[in-house]
Amino acid sequence: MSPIIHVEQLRKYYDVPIRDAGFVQAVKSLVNRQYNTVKAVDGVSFDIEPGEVIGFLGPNGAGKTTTLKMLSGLLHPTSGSCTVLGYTPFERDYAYLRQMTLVMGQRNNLLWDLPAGDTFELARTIYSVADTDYQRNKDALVELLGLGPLMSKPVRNLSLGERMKTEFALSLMHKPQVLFLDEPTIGLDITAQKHIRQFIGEYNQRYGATVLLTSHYMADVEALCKRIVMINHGVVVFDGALAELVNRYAPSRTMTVQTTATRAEMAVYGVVTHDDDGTITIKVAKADVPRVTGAILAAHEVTDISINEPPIEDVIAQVYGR
Amino acid sequence: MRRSIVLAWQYLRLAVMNELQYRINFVIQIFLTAISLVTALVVLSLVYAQTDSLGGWSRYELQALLGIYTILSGVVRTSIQPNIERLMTDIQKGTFDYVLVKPIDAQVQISIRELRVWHCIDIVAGAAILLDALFRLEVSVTFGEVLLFGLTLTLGIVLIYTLWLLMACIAFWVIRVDNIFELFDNIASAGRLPVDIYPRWMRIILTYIVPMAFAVTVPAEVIIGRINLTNVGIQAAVTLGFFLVTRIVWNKAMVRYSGASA
Repeated sequence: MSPIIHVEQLRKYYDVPIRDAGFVQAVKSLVNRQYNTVKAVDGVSFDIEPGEVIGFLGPNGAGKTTTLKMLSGLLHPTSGSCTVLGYTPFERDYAYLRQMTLVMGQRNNLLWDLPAGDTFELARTIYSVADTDYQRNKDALVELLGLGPLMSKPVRNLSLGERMKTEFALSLMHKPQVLFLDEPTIGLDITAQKHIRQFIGEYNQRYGATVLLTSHYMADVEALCKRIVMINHGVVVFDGALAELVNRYAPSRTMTVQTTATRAEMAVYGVVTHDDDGTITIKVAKADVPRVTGAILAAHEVTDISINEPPIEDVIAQVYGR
Repeated sequence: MRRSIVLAWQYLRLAVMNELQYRINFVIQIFLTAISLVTALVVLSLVYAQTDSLGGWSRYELQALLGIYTILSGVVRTSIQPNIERLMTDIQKGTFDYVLVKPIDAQVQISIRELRVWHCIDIVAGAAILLDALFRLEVSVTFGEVLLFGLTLTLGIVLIYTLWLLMACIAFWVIRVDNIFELFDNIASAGRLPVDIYPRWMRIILTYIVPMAFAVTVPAEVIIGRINLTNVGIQAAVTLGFFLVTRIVWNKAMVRYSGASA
């Protein structure tokens, strides 16, 4: 199968006016403006197969949104190329736009004063969805998202979580094959986040849609994405499975041991991070885990021992920090 | 094209449904329209108590022109201004992105999304003043003149729309341009009077730089029976010219928005 999204050496540079703080500097910059080139995206390449759900990660300012904007045709790349479904996004071919959608968690697409149901009619015309398809798509989305009672309420009266759900329904009315989701769960409470997450998973399963998702919530990524593309300072720093990321970038494991041994005795094996009445936690290098486990079990009385990977957030923070 | 018309119709329907919720706006709007019209009519009668003719226009001819001006500003407040304002906030908030990812012409989209239904009152009031003036002038209007009037009025609306959009396009280069609209509003209010009464330099500005003369004066000339086909022809040419220029600038603005250097 050929990739549905192909990105090669994609670059986006911005010229940003610079000036020092202060009134005089502000006036100076009016006359003689100095520019700084910001390399928002600096040579990103990846391929995505149809039906994949990709977690697109990176710290703030890493170039995630800029990349998504280039893929959805909003921004013209400075150099490099990208194709989605065989189209060049920035040409904004209507045939392409009909097959993709862009959802931005921080930006509203619904009409504020109207019930969501009314806005859906507009989407139907804009995407020329046939009558039978429209009803079917709408029913499916209303059911998947549990929108029933929300459709007739003015959007301004919906909670943030409810609004995001209706945003999703609106953005998917034309049954797009490619979904670009920029922070779709931002600001939502845990329950609403979970709903949206489940919905994205089900939509992907049901229609085989390809999803490129950015999120700062690792729970989203863990639940949905088998593969992760991580960028930092505009370049890809990791592309692979989540498990592999942990393997590669988490050099240590935490061992929690319930034992009669003392803290000092355990400190021989690794750095003690926690000591709580017979339960001692130590940090051990990954490669040493089998040897250390054997040594502890041989030398001390142990009632329970467990080995854990560090939290994914910690691993990612470590990658960002490199 | 058909899709654009259906979409415009749907937006209209939604706007009507939406605004029916706010009946108080209706009352306020009637009140505001009444005040501004009464003021204008009083000024008109005061002026004509001193003189019979202003730049060759009699009192009721000028009232007809006032009626057309009111109709046009009603169209601006009902549709053009709210759409352009929405465009500005969309650009500032970044929601303009949603316009660009939709498979329908962006300029069409941004031109039909908003409608302040209650401002239609201005259009109705303007039509009433115009009819009253025509009645008092005792002009007999032929069917052909009505058609030509409709055409020149439509051209006037298109011309004003392109001027608004042209200025809004500046927002793609400079993010805050609210003040420009204020300036434009002031210049546009010069259209309240026929261009003939202004000094020569101002007539040139009003005709060629901010062509309000064409938007208001030409339809007025037609309906009061002073048809000047040269003016009608120039109006059509200027409108078409501005329309094309606006389209070119709009396309440039889109290129600029997407940050393409070419």
